Amino acid sequence: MQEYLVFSIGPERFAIALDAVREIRRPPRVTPLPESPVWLRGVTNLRGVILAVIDIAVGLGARTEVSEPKGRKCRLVVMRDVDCDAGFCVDAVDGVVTVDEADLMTPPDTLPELLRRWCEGIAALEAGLVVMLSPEFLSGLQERLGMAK
Amino acid sequence: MTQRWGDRPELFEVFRGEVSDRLGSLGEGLLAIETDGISTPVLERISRDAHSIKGSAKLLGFTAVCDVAHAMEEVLVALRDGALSLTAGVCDVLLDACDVLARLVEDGSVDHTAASTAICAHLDRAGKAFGEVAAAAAPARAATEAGADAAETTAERAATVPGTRDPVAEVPLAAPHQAPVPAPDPSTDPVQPVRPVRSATVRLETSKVYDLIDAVGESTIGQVTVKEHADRLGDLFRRVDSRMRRLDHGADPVRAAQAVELLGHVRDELAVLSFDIDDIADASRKQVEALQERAMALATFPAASVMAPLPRLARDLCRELSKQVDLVVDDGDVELDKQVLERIAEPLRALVINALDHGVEGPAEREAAGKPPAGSVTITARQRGGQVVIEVADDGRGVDVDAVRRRGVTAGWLSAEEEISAADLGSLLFRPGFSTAPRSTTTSGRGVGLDIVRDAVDALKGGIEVHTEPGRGTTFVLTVPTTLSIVVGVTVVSGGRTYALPVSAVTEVVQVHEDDVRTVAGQRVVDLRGEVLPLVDLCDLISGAPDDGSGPVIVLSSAGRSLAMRVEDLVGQREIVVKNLGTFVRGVRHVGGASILGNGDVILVLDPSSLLAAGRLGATSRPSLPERHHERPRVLVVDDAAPIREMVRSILEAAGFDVTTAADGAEAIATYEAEAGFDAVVSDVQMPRMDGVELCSSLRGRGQAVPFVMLTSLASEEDRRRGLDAGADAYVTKADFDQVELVELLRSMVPA
Repeated sequence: MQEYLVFSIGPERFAIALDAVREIRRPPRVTPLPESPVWLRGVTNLRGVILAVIDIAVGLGARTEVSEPKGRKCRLVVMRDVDCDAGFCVDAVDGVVTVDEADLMTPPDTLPELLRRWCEGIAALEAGLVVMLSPEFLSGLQERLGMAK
Repeated sequence: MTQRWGDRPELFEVFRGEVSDRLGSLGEGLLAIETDGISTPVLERISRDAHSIKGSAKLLGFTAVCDVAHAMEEVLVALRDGALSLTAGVCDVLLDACDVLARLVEDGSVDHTAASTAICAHLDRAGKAFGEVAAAAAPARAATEAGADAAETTAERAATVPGTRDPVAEVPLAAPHQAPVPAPDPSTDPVQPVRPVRSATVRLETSKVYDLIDAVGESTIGQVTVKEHADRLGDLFRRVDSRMRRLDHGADPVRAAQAVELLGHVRDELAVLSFDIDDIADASRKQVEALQERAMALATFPAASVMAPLPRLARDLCRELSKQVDLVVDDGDVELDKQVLERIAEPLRALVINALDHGVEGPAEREAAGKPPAGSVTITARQRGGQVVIEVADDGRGVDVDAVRRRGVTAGWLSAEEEISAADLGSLLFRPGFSTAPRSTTTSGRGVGLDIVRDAVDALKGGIEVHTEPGRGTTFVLTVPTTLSIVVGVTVVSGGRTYALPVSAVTEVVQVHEDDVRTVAGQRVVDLRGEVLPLVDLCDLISGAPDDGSGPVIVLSSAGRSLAMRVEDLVGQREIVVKNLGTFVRGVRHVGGASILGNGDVILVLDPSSLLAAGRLGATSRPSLPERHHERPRVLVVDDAAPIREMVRSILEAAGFDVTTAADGAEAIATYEAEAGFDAVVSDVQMPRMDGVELCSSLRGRGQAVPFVMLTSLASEEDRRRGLDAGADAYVTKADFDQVELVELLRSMVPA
């Protein structure tokens, strides 16, 4: 059994292990970086430390257009990983759920390739189907960033 | 009274600090008397230094330090009293003793080491040179070994009864004609505790200072949040206020009145809170700024701290190399951040060693060249804005540019026909592995090469330039920021976004009208007082939203290369704390870091060297010719400004000429003679070593009737006449330079 943070980006619902979440904040002002992939929205100031802000829907291939986060429920989810931290914006944080890994369903092969690679499975929650993301997608995206150069 | 420092580690730190200060003073004093001869005040001062080290060492139980310092004091006192004459040998031993002391304290050695025993013996022997006086001093030395208190007696007496440094005086019976020595009064009690060193300084671990600076930096960010909260409270106040006005009192007047009263309280409270917090935020911002400034000052130290050891280094090295050099150090009271100081100490040593080893000639060679036998090396430090410029200048033989070029060609860093500019020269000298000459002196044992200078300069985002003149000397100019934590940034706008550029890379800001922009070989260039610079738009370099192309132009310079870069707007200058881009993003093209503004927004700090490289790419890319066709007309292009040389080269090559270049008249003559068969010469007028007019006369003097075109920024009739008088065939001023005209002119002059 593991705790997951469930969040929405557009009509889609995703979840990541709560352990991988450092904090949840209001959406920040982002400074774009030149010559970087569209899904790297830029950098922001998190209490004096520069933090990268990414668009995971675009980064993982679920969407092609970067959308500026809007609305009162919009939040920045700050992730912590072994050697890199980054944040991403979500349209809403839906809450924390406890899921048994055994209950996860295999993702359909119609899922975009990158998303499928970092998907641990699909959970059927009350609110609907949720794509369970492996927090490792962060280092995966960082690798893509390195290759883009 | 003897205490082992092991019980009191903090005492050891104080001791270490004191010894380090005293040794600094001792070393400096010894060099002074070695150079300028015996000076009683200096000897008194440094005897006190030795005495003080001895006292503290004894207090803390550092037997070896105590003994060495004692033996030094004996010698110094003998020198002061004229009982011992000053020789280089004595100075050597004393300086060596300083080194031994430094090592002992550095290692925290309590007991004697091989080095400390040896140096005590050396000092004793040096002391024995003063004859019978020494005969009495020797027992005193023996006494030291037996028990330090007895030695203290001798030294204290010597110090408190100046001029009577005759050990005999300590034994009343041996001086019957003197009045009996009175019983020592308590103030001269030989076993008195060592006077505490009063000093207005506190020793701190550097890391503590940087922790403080970081903490202050963090608090800046906090107060930005407070400000935002004040704004939100203000918003809330306005919302409550407007809601109250629109309240419907109809349905239940009593409850409505209660609600109004409650809301009124909330509203008033909100008003007070938001205004108060706003005030507090403003006040705290000012306090934080002041605090930040003071915290930064804590990490600042005089440049003298890294420059002071240089005379000693020079002295030892001169002896080893059998050279005479006057080393002048002028630190200009400049202060630098400790992190910067630490990183320039080695490069400075390397530059001084280089000047002594390679720059200054031996006395014989100097005299043969009509120079005074003693060379001179001058090290100056000056504050220039947020930077410190350190010059190491020698009056030696100058860099052998040809040898550097040969070395560069051998190593494959240069192509054989490539000319070498001042910037290239610098970059070659600082390459790792540039100097391959095996050296057997201890100089090489110091493990220095000029490549460490380049590494340090790069790490500090500073600059290094070399100016050299054959036979006249070489000057290295090292530019480093005063601090790593804060840089002065020029903030500019491009594509609607704000960026910062380190002010160190910005030479000037100019307005350039589109009429002044010309296109040379597809590259937009602008003529700035005779210097032709490639012109680019920042928005193109960083692929940003396009600007309207009418904004100010910033001239960026680094390592002798420049670039004119148009921005949308110039905002101003501000001190910025440069941070890295975080853990996710590992380097973005043209971005050196980021900084947080007072309002919490992040701005990117651009990397000038990366912008320069990208911006100049178009200017330096030459049309690549598959091979040389000697059927093509050959033109020798002579100009000391590499950009112009390259510009003319690309124009002429594009027009079908075979171009060879030279950086001045002298090089042109050499090239002309080495490779016969030039069909024309295009030359600048003003150049170092040999100017264009001299070059033309010289060629004509050799019977060379080759067509000669003067290309210069000078436009006066007199200059034109001088050029034509010298035998030039045509004169083209850069001010009305037209590439078509030049090409047509040359085509008309050379055989088809």
